[in-house]
Amino acid sequence: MSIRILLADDHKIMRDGLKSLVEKETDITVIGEAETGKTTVSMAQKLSPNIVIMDISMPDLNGIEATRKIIKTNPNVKIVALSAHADQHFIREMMTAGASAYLLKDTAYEELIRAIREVMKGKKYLSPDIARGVLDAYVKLARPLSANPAFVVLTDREREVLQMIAEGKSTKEIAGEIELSVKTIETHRRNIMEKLDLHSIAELTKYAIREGVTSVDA
Amino acid sequence: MNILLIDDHAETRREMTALINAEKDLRVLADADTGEEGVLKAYELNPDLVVMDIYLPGINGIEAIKTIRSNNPDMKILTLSNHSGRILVEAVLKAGALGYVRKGSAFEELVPAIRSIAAGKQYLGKGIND
Repeated sequence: MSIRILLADDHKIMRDGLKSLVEKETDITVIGEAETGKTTVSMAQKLSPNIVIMDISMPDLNGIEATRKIIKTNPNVKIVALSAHADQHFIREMMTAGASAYLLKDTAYEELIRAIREVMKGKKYLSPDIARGVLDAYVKLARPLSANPAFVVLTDREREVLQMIAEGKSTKEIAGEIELSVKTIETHRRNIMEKLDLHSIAELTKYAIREGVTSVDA
Repeated sequence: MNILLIDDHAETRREMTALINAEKDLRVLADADTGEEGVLKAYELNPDLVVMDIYLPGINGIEAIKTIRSNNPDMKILTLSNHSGRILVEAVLKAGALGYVRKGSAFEELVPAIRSIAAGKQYLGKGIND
C-alpha cells in the first residue's frame, strides 16, 4: 500500500520541490498540500495521511502547535519535521509535541526518504547533524543524574573486568583477553568487591546486570 | 549568446539584463514574468540559455524547467533563487537545471555561472550544496 503524505510549508516552491522529488517514489503519494498551520490541521483531520512533512515557521499556527493538535486528535499520523532551524529549542518543542522525525531543509533528499521509511516502521529519526546537537544537550542534562556507582566509583579497567566476570569468564580468560596477569585481575576483582561492598561472583553478576554494565543476553 | 530571462520582478529583470548585456558576447534576447510566458518564449525563440527565478507565479519554476526541457532537451538552464535548502536544490537539478545561484550573489556569480553552464558544466553558487 502506498504511503500517503500531506505537505505543509508556506513556501510554494518548497512544496513543489518536495512533490517533484517524492513523486518519483512508486510507493509514495502526495495527497495534499497546506500553506498554513491551521490548514494543515484541518487537512490532516480530513485526509488522515500516514505522514505530514511539516515546516515549523508557518503563518497563523506554527508547525509545533499544528503537530500538537494533529497528534492529539489522531495519534497515528506521523509527523516529519522539515525545518530551516537547527536550534535545540525547536527540536525539543517539535519532538515533545509528538513529531517522529526532525530534519533540516539542508539535508539530502535521500535522507528524507530514509526518515519517511523509518517513521513508517514506527521508529523515530533524527538526521545526523541534528542528532549530534541533541546528544550534546542530553549528555549535559544527564551527567549530574549519573549516580550509578559502577560508573562513578569504578575505574574504566575495573568496569571492564566486572563486565567480563558477569559474562562468566574466568580470571585466567580475562587475564588473557586484556593482556594482564592473573594476579592483577584478582586484585581488580578484590577492589571491585570492596568498592561495591559485594562478596561473591554471583552478587557481582547480579549487580552488573542490574546496573547495565552488562546485558542479560551477553 | 542569446539568453531568455524569466523573473516576475521587474527590478530583478532590469539588473540581470544590465549584468548580461555588459558582456560583449552575451545578450538578453527576451524576458518573461511568468512561468507560462517563459515556457512559450523558450519554445518560440529557442535561446542558447535560460536564466530563471524558480519562485514564479502560476506554473511553478520546477514545472517550467521540466516543460522547457521536454520541449528542448538540450536547453541549458540557470536558476536564481534565495532559497538554498539542499532538498530544493536537488529538486531543481533533477528537474533539469544545470546551475543554481543565490540571487544575493548574482552580481558576482551570474556571468561566471552562465559561462560555465554554456560550456555544459554544472555550476552551483556560493552557499549552494548539492
